[in-house]
Amino acid sequence: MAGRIVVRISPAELQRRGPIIKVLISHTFAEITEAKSVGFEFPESLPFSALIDTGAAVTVINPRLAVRYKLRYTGPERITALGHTGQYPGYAAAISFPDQQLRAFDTVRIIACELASAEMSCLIGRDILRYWELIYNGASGEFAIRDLRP
Amino acid sequence: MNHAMPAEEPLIHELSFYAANKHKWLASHPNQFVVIAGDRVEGFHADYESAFNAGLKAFGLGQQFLIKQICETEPVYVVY
Repeated sequence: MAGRIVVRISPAELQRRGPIIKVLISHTFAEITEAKSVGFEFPESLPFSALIDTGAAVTVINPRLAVRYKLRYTGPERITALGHTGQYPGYAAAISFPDQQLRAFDTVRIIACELASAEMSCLIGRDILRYWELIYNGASGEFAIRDLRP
Repeated sequence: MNHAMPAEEPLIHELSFYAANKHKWLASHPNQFVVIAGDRVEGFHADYESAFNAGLKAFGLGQQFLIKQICETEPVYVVY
């Protein structure tokens, strides 16, 4: 899959909402293959909004989604948010970007943590951004993502 | 943001096992990702993805396993 998208909104909307893209969080390819071999099906995932957040060291999702999709728990992780440090559950997941020409991430650790905004279900953190070039153009109200993985 | 950990940690045994072996592994496998289910160590891996796929292959869908990066100080990830 090609590795560059440009999202055009408006300067005011981009300032208000931030750079938001649609994501699909699901089980990893290996889990889906394993599940099919034993006749098991995971709950169907639906796309939702994710904020690209250069202030987040890791990718975070709403805990209700982790439970709803029955993501696989792989241990607690320590997070500092709003001045407080605590343990939060880490899950293995695949992240893809429906209807966008962006390459998926098959196996990443995501952390379930309540987000400040009910409007937002996911923060795409720097664990994903380390593989992307992100250009934010506030004046024109657009941002561009280029996947730099070989 | 609020705590989201379950009241009972599902991998408490594996976390204790990790803690008991951490110093030994720090010398032999620093910064690698260890996969543990019960008292069984599946192996040590360079990254989370390799660790997860190896754990899934070894333990399947039915058994939980812990993935832990072996660090002197536990990493704390900041979300601003």
